[in-house]
Amino acid sequence: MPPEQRNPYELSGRKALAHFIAVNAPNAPDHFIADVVPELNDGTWRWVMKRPTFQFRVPTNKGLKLRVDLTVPDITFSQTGPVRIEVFVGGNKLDTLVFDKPEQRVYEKPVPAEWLRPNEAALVALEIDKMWKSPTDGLERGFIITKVGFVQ
Amino acid sequence: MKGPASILFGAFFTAAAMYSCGRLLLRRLRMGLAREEAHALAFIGGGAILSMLVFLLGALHLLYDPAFLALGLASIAAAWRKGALRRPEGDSLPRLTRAQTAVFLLVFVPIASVTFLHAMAPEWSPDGSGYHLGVIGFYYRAHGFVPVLSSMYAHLSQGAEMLFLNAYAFGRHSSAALVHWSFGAALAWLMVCWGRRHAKPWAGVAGALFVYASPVVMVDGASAYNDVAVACVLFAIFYLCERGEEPADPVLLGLLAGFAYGLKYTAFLAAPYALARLAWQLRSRRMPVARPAAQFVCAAAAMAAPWVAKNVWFTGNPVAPFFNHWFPNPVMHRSFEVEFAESMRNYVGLASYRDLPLELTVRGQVLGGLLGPLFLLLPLALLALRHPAGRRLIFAALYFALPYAANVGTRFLIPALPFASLALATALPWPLLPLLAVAHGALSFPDVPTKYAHEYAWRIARVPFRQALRLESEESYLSRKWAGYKVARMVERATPKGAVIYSFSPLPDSYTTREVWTSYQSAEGELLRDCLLMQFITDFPPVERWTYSFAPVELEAVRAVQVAAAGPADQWAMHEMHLLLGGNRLPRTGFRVRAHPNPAQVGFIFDNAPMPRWRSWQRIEPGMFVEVKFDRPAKLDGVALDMPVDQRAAVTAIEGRAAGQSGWKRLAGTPSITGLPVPLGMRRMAIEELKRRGIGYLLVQPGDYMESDFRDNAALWGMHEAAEVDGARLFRLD
Repeated sequence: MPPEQRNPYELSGRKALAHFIAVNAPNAPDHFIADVVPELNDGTWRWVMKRPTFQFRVPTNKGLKLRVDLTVPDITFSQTGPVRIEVFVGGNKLDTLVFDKPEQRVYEKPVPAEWLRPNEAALVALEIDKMWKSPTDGLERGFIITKVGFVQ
Repeated sequence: MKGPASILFGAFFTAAAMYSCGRLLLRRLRMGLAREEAHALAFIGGGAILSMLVFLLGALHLLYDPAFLALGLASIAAAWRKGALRRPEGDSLPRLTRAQTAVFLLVFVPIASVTFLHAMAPEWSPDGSGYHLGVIGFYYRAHGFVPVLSSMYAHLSQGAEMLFLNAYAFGRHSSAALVHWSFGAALAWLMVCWGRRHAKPWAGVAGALFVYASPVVMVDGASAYNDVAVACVLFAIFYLCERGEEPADPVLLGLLAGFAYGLKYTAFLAAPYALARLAWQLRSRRMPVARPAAQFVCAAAAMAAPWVAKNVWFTGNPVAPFFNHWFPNPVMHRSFEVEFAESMRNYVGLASYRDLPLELTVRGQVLGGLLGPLFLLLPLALLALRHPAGRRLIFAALYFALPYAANVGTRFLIPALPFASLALATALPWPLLPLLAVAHGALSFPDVPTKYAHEYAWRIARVPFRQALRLESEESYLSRKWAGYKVARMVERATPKGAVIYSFSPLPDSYTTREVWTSYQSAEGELLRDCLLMQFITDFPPVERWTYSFAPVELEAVRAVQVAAAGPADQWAMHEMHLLLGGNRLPRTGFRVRAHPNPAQVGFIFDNAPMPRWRSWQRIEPGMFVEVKFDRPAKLDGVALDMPVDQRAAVTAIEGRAAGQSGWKRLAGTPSITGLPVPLGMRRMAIEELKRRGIGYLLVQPGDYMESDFRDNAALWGMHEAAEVDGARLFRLD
């Protein structure tokens, strides 16, 4: 007998929006709205610019938390010094993150239910106050994101 | 709740039935015992018989009060009718002097009184109120043996518990504890008999008191445990082998050796010991060995084999919950057994084995009890090596202490203590013995140990006179004394009959009639804990997809195989396996799946759900596999595995077997890894898994992991609070 099948576990097909992404997932670009650098580094992380913005779809708005795996690396911090990153969900400011030192951080904070609507797109944006500029070619970068989205 | 009359009736009726069975047995065996030793050996041997008779009642689902009554009355009546209860015919052992009698009574009477009252008071020992009486309560209510797969302790041999059950039917918990108390009294009596028989009366008296007045023996023997019963039976075996005039009776010796195994697995050592001594006795007298040895083996098997058979019947493992490596079964995980064994060797708070002597004798908190400061003199027992009896005592002490290496708790030395005590007593000059015995008794009397032991050392701290006589009710006393009792009673009040409760932490099962699944005590319990914790431990959910690609190939079977070297503590785990062709998943039909190890749960890998996940439930070893065998050859060019990240030591490869070929061929060894979304709704999924197993309630107690999340997010879990006491919350699953 084939194994018993349970409630469908949607694995987020290419066109479907998920509630959470790792930026190396095949469908991750579907969630990028702005300021995410297309290149994938080491197969796991991406640079973002001034105000990276993502879209997600959440099946429920109850008990959700925004989780972001992000890094302010040595290379940018050595030039910018301490930075602040403001976090927005659907146009509402959720938090301001302060990085006083280079750091890899898993940020997680509950999101008020009224900021989200089940089965509708939810926008998440993170805005850094200071950009890093390459001294050689003038290339600009904000910070690094590995995973972002909603968890319960 | 039973009153003093019921409690005393249950205990004395059981003891009388044991004694009657034993007297019938001794009458039949015609061993020529001295009168004094016949009393003790009848009680102990009769315990073996009655225990097995109660086992038979359980196997036949006849565990009803009238059946217990009929069994006991029939035993007593049969012994009466056959004249077995008349004064034993044998000679008397040499009498004790007045001084010896006085010293013995001076220590024995107060200690016996205190321990008797403690046993008669409401039972609240951790294991006694938990599994020793919890499991038999389950059998009692079911009127027979039923599989209790939610508790590892239900699989241990329960020879003492069968006697407890006989008493429990009439007087519940305290009756059972009094039955255990009676083994302590029989042990002391038999040790005195040993001294009288071997012309060492002071050693017998002192040795008996060294054991009987040891604080850990006092509290253990006055609780529904089994360690003192084990010590008593082992000493009876030794005693029979030491009588001297003629070889020990092989039937009685075999019954006791088998009963020892029935009391506690670790007492299996009794059988080879007794058989070796029997054979030695027979050979040294140039008597035939084969027939008595066969009688011994048959008698021992009659007492031990039923426990083996019960485990085979219920679990598939004859020695459950141990040796799961040899007897793989779905009831217990190998990983648990390894962790449990390690925890038993390394008690929390024991910094070094060099601390053992003081912890064991004086402090008593870390190892759960103390032997008493007297036993700091134990090295002097080596002086007993000067004489043959001393050498045999020391050998027995060391031999029966062997299991201590597996569990360093103080009470695990109790089975060896009678031998060590007698060795010490025979090694010291006799004028010292009365002084030491009286001092030892005084240092152990409640609550003198508070002057030198740790305040939380397990011991009898006071004489519970009012509680023993139920001048204060059991409910009042236990509620005042013990939070665990209140939790158990809350469970009883807030749930309907037949409810099943899942609990992260144990509770005194014997004070609720509900079935409680404690998270770590069974394979299913551990599986559900894995589901419940997936919400909190970010390494547990499927957050990575490992995709293996290879040239399209037609296969009759494909498998993920573990190629990491053995050794790391990590387990192998997997949430889902997808078979791919041209970037699409193949439909999940037309194949069969199997796994090694843990084949029973391989379906979790193909059920489209992030939980439960399949785990090896043992450390990673090369050759572990998850295999898909197609009904008809299927073409594929990739395999994707949805994985957690709590298995950093795992190295997984994909192998395939082409149609018509017998061997496996490596298709891909290195995956490309991408992230997966953390699943939403894991709390509710976990609760659904509980409900699928018939569990209706979740108990969360103070100190449980992420306790507050269950309280704060009850709606997200899909449950609501049904009752609360002292911070312990019982949730009803919606």
